[in-house]
Amino acid sequence: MTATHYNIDPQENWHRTRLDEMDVLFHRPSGQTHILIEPAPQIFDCLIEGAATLQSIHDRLASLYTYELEGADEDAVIEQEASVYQLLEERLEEMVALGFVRYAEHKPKNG
Amino acid sequence: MHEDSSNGHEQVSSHDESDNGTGKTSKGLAMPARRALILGAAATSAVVSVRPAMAQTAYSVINCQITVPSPQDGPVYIDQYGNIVDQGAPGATVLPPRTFTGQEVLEGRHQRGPRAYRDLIRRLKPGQSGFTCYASIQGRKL
Repeated sequence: MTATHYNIDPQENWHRTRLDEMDVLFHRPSGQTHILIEPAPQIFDCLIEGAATLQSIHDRLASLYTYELEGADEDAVIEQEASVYQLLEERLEEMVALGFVRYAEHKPKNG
Repeated sequence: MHEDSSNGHEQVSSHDESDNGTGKTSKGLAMPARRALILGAAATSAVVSVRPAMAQTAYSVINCQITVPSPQDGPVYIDQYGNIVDQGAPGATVLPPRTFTGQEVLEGRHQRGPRAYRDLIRRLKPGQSGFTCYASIQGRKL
């Protein structure tokens, strides 16, 4: 089963400005302005580099940040790792619903 | 990670803060060199739409709420015909606050019952609770 790929609109369709700890994003096709708070700007950064799956976004962010995991025992950590994926996916779907992130067509390489 | 804008727009610096000045302890234990990324709670939005300051989507218009009289305004009194009157007017009674959804106002339900509700909604001004909702409805009527 092919994983969902996400992508952002071409750069000419949006303008982004940093305001302290959050970003303001103007999306021209919808005419709407959005305030992005963590982790939305960080996810957006991942997608600027190109279409990405939830897994690749997770891995990219994990290389740059530590996800806040609570609990000392391993079982709790595993549960919370699943929550990290869930939360990242929720944020992605939220941005898809708002229109400035889209599902990308992914053509698997032959071989 | 963010590409520089070529049209002179303000650059957004990378949100990457991979070096916060920590290193390894004397025992060789790795201290966190990456800052924590706050993911927020489930079903908590990380994006707030702000332009314009009105309920743009159909969902927002249908579900936004207008409460009249608003708690900030204090009690409103009506006569037996449902007209707004002064507190000391003969037969004056307190108008019970009612909450209308955008959908209900679109359908004109606020015009049923005491006309005071309709009058209060029409008098809403910027800054008053419900004004944004009502303004959004007006936009949809056009």
